[in-house]
Amino acid sequence: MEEKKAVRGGAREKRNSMRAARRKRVTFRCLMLLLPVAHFVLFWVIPNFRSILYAFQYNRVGADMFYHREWSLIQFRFVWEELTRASGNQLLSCIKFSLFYFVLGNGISLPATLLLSYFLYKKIFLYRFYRVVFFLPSIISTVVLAILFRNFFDPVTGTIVKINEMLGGGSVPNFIGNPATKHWAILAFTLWTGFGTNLLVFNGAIGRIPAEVMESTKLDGVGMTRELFQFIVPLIWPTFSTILLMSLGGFFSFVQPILLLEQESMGGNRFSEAGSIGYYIYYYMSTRKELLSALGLCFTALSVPVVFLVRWALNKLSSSIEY
Amino acid sequence: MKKKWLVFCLCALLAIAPLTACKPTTGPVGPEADTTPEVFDEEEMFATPRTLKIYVMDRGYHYAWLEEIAAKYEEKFENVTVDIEPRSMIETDVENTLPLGPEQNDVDLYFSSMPNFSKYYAEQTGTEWGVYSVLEDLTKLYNTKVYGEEVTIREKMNENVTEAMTLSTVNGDAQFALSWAAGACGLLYNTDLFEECGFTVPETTDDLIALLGDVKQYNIQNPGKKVTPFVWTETYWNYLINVWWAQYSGMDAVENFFRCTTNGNVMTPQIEALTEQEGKLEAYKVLETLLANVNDSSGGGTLTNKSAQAIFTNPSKRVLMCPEGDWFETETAANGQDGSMFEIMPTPKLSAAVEKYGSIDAVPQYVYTLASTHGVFIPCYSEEKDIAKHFLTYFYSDEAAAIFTRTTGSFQAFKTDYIREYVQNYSLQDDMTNFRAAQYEVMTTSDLTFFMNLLSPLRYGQAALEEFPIGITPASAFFSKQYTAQTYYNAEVAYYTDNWSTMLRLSGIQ
Repeated sequence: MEEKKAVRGGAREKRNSMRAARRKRVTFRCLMLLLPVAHFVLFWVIPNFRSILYAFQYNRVGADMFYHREWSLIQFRFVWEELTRASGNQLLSCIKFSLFYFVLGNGISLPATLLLSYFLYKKIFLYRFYRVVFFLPSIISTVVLAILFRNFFDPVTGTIVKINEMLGGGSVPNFIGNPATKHWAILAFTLWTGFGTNLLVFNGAIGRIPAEVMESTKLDGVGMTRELFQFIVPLIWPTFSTILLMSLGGFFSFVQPILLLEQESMGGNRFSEAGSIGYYIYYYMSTRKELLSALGLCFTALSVPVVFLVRWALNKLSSSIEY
Repeated sequence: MKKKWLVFCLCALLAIAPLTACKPTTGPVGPEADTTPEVFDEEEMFATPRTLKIYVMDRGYHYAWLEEIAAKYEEKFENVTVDIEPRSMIETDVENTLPLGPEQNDVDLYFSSMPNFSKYYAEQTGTEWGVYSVLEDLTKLYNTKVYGEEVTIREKMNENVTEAMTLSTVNGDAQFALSWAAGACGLLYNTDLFEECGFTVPETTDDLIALLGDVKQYNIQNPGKKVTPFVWTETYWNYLINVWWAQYSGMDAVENFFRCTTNGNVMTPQIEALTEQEGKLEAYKVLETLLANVNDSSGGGTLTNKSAQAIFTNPSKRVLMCPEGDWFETETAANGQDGSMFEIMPTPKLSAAVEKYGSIDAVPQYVYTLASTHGVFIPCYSEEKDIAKHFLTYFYSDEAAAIFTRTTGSFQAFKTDYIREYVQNYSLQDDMTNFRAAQYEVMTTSDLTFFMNLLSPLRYGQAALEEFPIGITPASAFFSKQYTAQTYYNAEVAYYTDNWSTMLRLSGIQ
């Protein structure tokens, strides 16, 4: 009897301690999750929930001149009409420029950064100096860089004028202000300021490649081109594809360089000829929030499968390598 | 089961929370369309120390003028302290502070650009504080006498400017903002260079076009002393377009254009108000001809305003004319340039209008100003709004207007007689530079034209219809030869026609 009691007591004690341990575990998990969940709810769920609601609202002006809110799908129709406008179609032009910035930006920036990282890894002459020079734009405020860029290309007082004079050229065209060249100026600025971060990431990834692998390539007499494309690129492919995927996310939010270069450029507020989708959203933020919310939903619906498709394609191109 | 209920409750809470935020509280008070003036009990108002906090736009005019006016006001009413905060991006500050309410926003007065009426009125953002608009209704203030004078603000203000600041509301028309600056914008010219070359100031647009021919001749005869007719930043040509258009069509037609209707009721827009604007086409024709003849101008047509100013004020560049505004002198001075030998010319009269009306004198004289885009307003919840209003009655006095003009070179949007009165009473003309004297001359001999965005939901609402809607400014279109005047006008008409029903629905009218 006593023995049974002792066994039962022991089991109860074990159960209790297990319960206490589980309670502690749950409490710990809850506490750990509290901050991210609160962050998610406060900064994603609530603002986006409001935004999603806006997409289904229509403000009808009453005889009293007030907006009378109605639930409607009309904002999606407006999005379609904006896209198919026969004249003055800003949205379509913005989509074209977004593609331009994305394709050319990444098409130039990513390979160039990769090459640069490789040269730095190979410790070319003055590699420490180049590392600082190319990383410098990343630690200086973009606003400061925009001022430097604008001052350099100013067609009246800019450094470009002096260089042009030294070369015996005539008047300097307005690279940033001219609607015909503005998008190239924005692209150039984006490339100039966008090197640093990717450079750091690529440097880190290449630096992690086991020394034995690189030694073996040396022993096999592999040249630099082959080493880069047949060894380094496959080995750092996960990093490369992550950067590409992240840049896809920036397709719709590319706006900062346009605002920094467009500001005050033409003496008044008007829609930039080289605006992106992000710029369109910024420009109409206060007057078209319902339409922009619907536009956001449409772009989300379009971009989610694209992101998954690109991810799948990138994974297909090269399998992940562990080392 | 408990978990499911918890999840359901949380979701319901998340769904309901934003909806409740949208719901207006009951019983807001609308504009009263009241014509009685504000009554100030100065003794009670200034019995205890009070502070009036002001956010002021810190751009071309800077803010020394307000500091001086505030100092005078503080001298008169000792218990008041005026706390001025200059803001370069004041529109963003207004957006960020105005909706916050009295607990978080202590700004009592904003000297800003025009507020977003769709947001602050049509969306009824003032309901939380018992009124429709988060902007204080200033209709009564308009009917209040200016401090120390026997005239009301409404009587002193240019009628067209007041109309441009007027919003149609549930109880008729109301004003939620006042204009605080109205200098002349137009064609500036280098007086010394005109004299040196023997050119005369053009009276009509034909004269102006002929002047370009004279410039060519002069340059052939004086290869070592060539002059350039224009330097410009593209949007500033719009000032001249607006004036030429008003000269040809009259201000009523221009107002109809901004109202998007010819019947006065903004709720029944008529496309004809936008598409039948022959005066606009005539103005485009002049600009096209001007820009077609200036291909050799220094800097071309894509300069920033600062760059254009730098070229214009540089004597070695020898540029004759530049479309600019009343801020030119102070802005160039701030950049270390000398703008004193420049004057604004009365905008040459549109020759097509001269032909239409029969003589030069029969064509009305207009000048473009930014009167309607410089708005001063008060948050409805301001705890010091009585002082803010009282301060404004002083701000529109001759004494304060004289300080404003002396410090900035600009003027108030008063009727010409009232401008003349305060300038003469305070002997401002004695100390005026050539630039300011020319400004004064133009301001007191011309009627005002300006941008009027508040007059139609098509413009301030979701359709966001702009004055030049096809995505390229006329100057840029003509200089780059992408459009002729006729094709540009046709493109605008096509824009209105193609998008008319969408614009109506977008703005919430249909």
